[in-house]
Amino acid sequence: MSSMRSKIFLSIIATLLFGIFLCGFLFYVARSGSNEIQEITNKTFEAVRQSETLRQKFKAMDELTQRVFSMSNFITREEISQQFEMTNADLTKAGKALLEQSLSDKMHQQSVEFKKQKLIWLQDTRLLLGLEKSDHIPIIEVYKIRQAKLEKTVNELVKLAKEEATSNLIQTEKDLNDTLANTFGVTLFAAVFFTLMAFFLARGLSKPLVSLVSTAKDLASGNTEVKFTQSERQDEIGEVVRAVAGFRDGVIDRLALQESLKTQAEELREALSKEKELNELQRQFVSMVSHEFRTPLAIIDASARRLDKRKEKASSEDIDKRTTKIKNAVHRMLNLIEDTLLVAKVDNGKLSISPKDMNLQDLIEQCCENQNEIATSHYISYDLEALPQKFVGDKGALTQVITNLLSNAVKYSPDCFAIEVDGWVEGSDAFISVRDYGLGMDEEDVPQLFNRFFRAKTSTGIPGTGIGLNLVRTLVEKHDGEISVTSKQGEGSTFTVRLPMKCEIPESLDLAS
Amino acid sequence: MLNYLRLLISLAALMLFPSFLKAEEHISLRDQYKRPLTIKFPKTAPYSPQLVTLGKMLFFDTRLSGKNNLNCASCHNPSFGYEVPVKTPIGATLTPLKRQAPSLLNMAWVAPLFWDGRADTLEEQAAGPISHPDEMDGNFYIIVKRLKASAEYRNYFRYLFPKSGITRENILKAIATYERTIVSDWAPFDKWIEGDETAISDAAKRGFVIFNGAGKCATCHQGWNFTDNKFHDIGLPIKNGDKGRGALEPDNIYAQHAFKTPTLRNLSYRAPFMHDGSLKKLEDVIDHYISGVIDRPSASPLIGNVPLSVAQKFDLVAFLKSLSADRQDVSMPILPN
Repeated sequence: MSSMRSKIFLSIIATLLFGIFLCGFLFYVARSGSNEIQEITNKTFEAVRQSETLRQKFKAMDELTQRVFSMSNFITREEISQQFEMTNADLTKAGKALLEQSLSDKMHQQSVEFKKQKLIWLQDTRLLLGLEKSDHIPIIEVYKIRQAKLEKTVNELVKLAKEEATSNLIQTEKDLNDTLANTFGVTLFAAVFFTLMAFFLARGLSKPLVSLVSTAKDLASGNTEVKFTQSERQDEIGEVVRAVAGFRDGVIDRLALQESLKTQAEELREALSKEKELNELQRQFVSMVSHEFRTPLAIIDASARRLDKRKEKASSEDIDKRTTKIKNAVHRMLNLIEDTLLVAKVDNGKLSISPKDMNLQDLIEQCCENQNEIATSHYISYDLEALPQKFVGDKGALTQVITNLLSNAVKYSPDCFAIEVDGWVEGSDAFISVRDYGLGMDEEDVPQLFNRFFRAKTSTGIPGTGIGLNLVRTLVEKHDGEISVTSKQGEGSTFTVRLPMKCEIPESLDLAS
Repeated sequence: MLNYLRLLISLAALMLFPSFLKAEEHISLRDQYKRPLTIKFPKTAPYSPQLVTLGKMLFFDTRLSGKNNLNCASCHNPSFGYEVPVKTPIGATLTPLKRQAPSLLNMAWVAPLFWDGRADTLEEQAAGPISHPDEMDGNFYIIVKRLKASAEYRNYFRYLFPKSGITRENILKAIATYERTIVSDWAPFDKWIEGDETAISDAAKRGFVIFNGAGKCATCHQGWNFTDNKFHDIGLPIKNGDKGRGALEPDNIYAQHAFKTPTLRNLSYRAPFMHDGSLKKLEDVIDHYISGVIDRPSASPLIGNVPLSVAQKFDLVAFLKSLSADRQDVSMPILPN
């Protein structure tokens, strides 16, 4: 297992080793470079010195030969011999020393040439100086030409030696510079390498820790979705991460449990409040129904008592008035019962409609007439010319719808006489609108208007069950239509029913679905 | 023989295709003009610098003349190609001699000696002018006596000839040995022969061809020293009834008025020319061969008027001048007291 500690340890060892190596290398380069330069410099000086010596010795030899060849002074053989041998020895020594400096092929070639020429020249010199006997003595002019050639070769040799030494020096300096440059490169590389290593090491240590810290913070703030990216690590951090991950899993389980408990409690609370609401609605319904029944019953009772009291004295007109009141009250109660029964049917899922061919125009007209008959306080004007004669629908249901809307219009416009009913066709839909100029309602009440038992705030003091509109909507929807309302408080309301004109309507609809 | 054949072929080819053969022919001709690199000394007088020095001293020593007034250099002046710039030199009698002094250049390769070849060796030759009454008018008995008076001479001779010391033979040997070391220096022509094409002018190169061809000069002036060492009557007017080689070979018709072919080296310093010093300039010499050769029974069959154009003459002179080296620095010996 490669632990953090072993990584750090390895890094330190590597740095130490590299440092030692670098120091050694630098020391070696500097020492060998300076040694080599010293050596080459010595060699250069030596080459220059030797070449100067060689030249001097040549000059000495030249002086001797010149002196002899001028044939102006009598110089004995012994004297010549002595001087020659001395000079020759020096010359040979200097030549050898110079040749020792030579390294290159060119120089070697030149030195071979020099040796060859020197041998001939030396032989000529010996002959001409009379140190060696021969019938054939070189012509002095030839000798001079040869000597000039030899001198040229020597000069060349000296030049080469100097050049070689100089070039060696330059090369060595260049090598040293190169090496130093390389060393610099290596040092730079090492610096970059170690910086990077330190960086990665630091990052390797800090990054997982920082990440772990942020993960832990996330976890602490309740976010159990945090991801553990470093759980595969084989070091200490990996272990910490795995431990935290284990802790997180426990927290997640606990939180899930808590959540489910909370949901259950919520559900219970909801069920309870629904129950309460239902109870309240039923209670309201019961009180409302009893109240609604009480009023017509009171009317019927009052009319009946009055008739009974007056019996014979009662005029037919009076009787008529009273019976009409009784009939209206009964009608009202009947309506109420009808509605209630229908609602019960709806609730039990037993409401069904049976669509048949019918005359929608006539039906609405009939409803309006009936309403006009019942409620003389209002006048319902209608314009139904645009509606189709032929329509497929449930007569009873649609009668219920229109009657309900009309009675509502009457009920909620106590001070306004006019109610307008319009019918028209758009596309494949028939539209029927009922408009009153009565109380109207708050805009915020509009969305809830079709809910069962809901009553708008403006309906206060007006008897009603909150069943009617709910029933209307149910019946309209049974015909695949819809009902909408626009209203403004104090300006009245307009209910618009849309009914699709269909050729066929299914025999019965499963209301439960 | 092969060389002659080559030369003939070259000449023939040159006549047919003059421009074509120039370079090739130069090269084959050039081989004949290569200089020797060593001097051959006779076994009787081997080289030593001491002997040469002694010879040089004697050469310049007036003690070798009868009246202590002449030395060898009087007539063989190094500055004039070891000749003198007069028609014929003035001797002990203060009258012009019959013949011009021959150059001492390259004498190691010349034999026999004198214009008429009466001496076989340089030693023998040297004795001639020293003892001739018209020339140095010397007497070897007196000369030896004079030299013996000098301790230095005594020492030198004793050093070189421990047994005999100062003798006539030793004196002549020393002089002859010195004379053998007198060699004409490398001339531009020699450098050209060795391959330096820039050493001589194009005119000189053309002149070289004329010299070997149309001019027929090389017939007698052969080889690097430009002499065949033979005697020819070149048709010059006869002076003083000088028979030349004819004095030694009275029966040889071609020896009459015949003189030895001289070297052409360092011509620039050696005017006037001819054995009698009769021609002042090189052009005069060429003119003589173009039109001045006198036809007579003794006249060399190799000699005859050669028709050369002015341009050819010019080229020939240019060539001849290329045979002259720069003047050599000849130091004077320090003579023993």
